[in-house]
Amino acid sequence: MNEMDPDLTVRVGPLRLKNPVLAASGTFGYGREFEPLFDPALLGGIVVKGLSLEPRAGNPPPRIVETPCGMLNAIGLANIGVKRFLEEKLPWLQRLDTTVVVNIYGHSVEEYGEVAGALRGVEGIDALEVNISCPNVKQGGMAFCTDPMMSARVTETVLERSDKPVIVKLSPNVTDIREPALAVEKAGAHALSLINTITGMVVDVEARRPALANVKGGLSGPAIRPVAVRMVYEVVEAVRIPVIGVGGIATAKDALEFLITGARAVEVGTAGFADPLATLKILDGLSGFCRSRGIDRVEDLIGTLETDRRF
Amino acid sequence: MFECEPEITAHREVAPGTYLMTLREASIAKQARPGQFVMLRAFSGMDPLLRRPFSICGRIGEDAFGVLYRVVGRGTAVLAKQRTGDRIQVLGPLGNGFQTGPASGSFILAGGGVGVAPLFFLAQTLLGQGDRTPAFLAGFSGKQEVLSPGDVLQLDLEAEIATEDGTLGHAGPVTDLLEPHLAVCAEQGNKTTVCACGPPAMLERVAALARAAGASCQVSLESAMACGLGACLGCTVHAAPQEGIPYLRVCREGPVFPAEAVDWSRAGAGWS
Ligand SMILES: Cc1cc2nc3c(=O)[nH]c(=O)nc-3n(C[C@H](O)[C@H](O)[C@H](O)COP(=O)(O)OP(=O)(O)OC[C@H]3O[C@@H](n4cnc5c(N)ncnc54)[C@H](O)[C@@H]3O)c2cc1C
Ligand SMILES: Cc1cc2nc3c(=O)[nH]c(=O)nc-3n(C[C@H](O)[C@H](O)[C@H](O)COP(=O)(O)O)c2cc1C
Ligand code: FES
Repeated sequence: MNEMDPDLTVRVGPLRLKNPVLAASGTFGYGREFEPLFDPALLGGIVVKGLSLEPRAGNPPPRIVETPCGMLNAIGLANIGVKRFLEEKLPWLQRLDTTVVVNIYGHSVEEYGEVAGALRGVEGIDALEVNISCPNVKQGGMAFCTDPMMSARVTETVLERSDKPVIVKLSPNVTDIREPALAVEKAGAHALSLINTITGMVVDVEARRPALANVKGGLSGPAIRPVAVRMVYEVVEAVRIPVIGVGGIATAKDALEFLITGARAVEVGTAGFADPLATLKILDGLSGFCRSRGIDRVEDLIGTLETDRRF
Repeated sequence: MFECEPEITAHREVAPGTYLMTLREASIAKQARPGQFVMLRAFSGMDPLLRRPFSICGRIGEDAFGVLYRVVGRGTAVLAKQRTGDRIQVLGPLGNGFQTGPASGSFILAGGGVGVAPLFFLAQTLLGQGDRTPAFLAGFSGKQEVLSPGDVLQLDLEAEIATEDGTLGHAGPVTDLLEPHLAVCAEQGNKTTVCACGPPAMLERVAALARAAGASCQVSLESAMACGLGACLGCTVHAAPQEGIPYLRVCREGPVFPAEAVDWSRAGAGWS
């Protein structure tokens, strides 16, 4: 390492990441999809596609549509299920020299527990990220995240069944994101990541139909970044556990907004579609920013936001 | 697969609203197989955001390849504004192309509109293999829209043309041209492969005709895409029941599929 290179390592609770840039769940497949373009081990970590106990087909097409500075998706959490994940995807991930986070979800508290249990003791998985934006089939399909108590129960159940650090991924589709954040912290989560996509809808005016077969979808990309920064700001003020910032990050400057606000790492999703090398460029940009300002360690930037009223 | 920023070495309007862009990138030109595609981004900034998928329509010279596209929205409008000498972001070649194999037998290529693009590349490749000259059938809305392999790519191949308004060639859909070809092949007991690209309704009809005639059929499908790499699961189409999986990714398992892999009753869902 060049002597001038800043130290990019960051700690996120019990995790030590080689740098603060991770690939976000659902946008990076199982990691290998991007391998022809760059070595995924260069990233601080990768979060794989949301995993459920059984394989899920997902929603009918069309599943995606572009929106101003973003996109709307209704993939429907399609995935290959735990069994095939362990057989087909894990061996490659185990050899990968970076932090591997497995994103999990369920349609009942029990299912979350079962997925966590199935991954217990499995080598090469460094942490779980728990997606609580899914509908709870036992409560009329209301998303877990909308109820702080349910969010806490999911967290407790996963913690009970798992031997790994647990990151709970919060949804922005709530009135006050601090409520689930505090509930989940109290339940014992090691870290939080936020935000997941914002529910939205696009209408095809020629066809007079929704653009997506699922009617509604999740908005992502640069369009949602200010919302995500605001929510990270609110949550880091409220909780003690570390926060990972997600939402619309496309450049190093965007990542810096989150780090300065107090996120200890960031996840990059949609920007990787516009530019598959976006994550690497963000890393370069972070190094450059630190170097040009004489900052030795990127950790020194975290939470340095000044909010006194000197405007 | 390469992520690069090649130079546009030629760019011209070949029919109203349809352009041929030549990109100098030897790595892609050499690796590409007919039916594969590239994801293009000619815009900086975040709006439009996503790259757009386009078939490779042929090798051009030693180190370049072509993209034949129609302006239908914002992304393609930006593309049309690019000039010779500009550079654009290119990811490719991606996906699975047409299976031509070493086998003998005849090829019938059937294209609808700008769907002829991947078939031009396929024709170019077959022509380069000596005695495999395919039949090339192409349908357009009218004379103005016609894209022929000779005019666009200087291929030594005569296309049979159909136009919906009857202003050139056969008056009617391109599938009318396909039927007599399939009949001849069936009579002679030839192994025949039909390769098609065009609107979903046309492809469904082509697949049905080929099946009835005992010919094998490969189709190149479209869907909206985000990653082009198989990672986002955004580009799926319904799979036929025997595939054993409900959906196929156009970018990864396709864009070229055996016709029987696709659930035609639900193909093209949502595309107006
Ligand atoms: C594998 C593949 C190969 C393709 N090859 C070619 C090609 O060689 N030449 C060519 O002209 N086009 C091709 N297309 C279609 C091309 O990608 C779309 O026309 C383009 O993305 C439209 O972008 P836009 O921003 O101009 O339009 P938008 O503003 O995004 O959309 C305009 C209209 O086009 C529809 N649309 C958007 N994307 C697609 C799509 N992928 N398929 C069908 N309809 C779409 C929208 O629903 C809308 O009605 C291909 C698509 C795929 C998936
Ligand atoms: C196509 C797509 C699929 C996604 N799948 C998942 C998923 O399976 N689990 C999950 O927790 N988040 C999923 N997300 C949300 C992203 O991980 C991320 O939180 C969100 O897109 C905001 O970040 P971005 O603007 O950088 O994309 C998905 C997002 C997209 C665009
Ligand atoms: S476009 Fe992302 S999986 Fe096909």
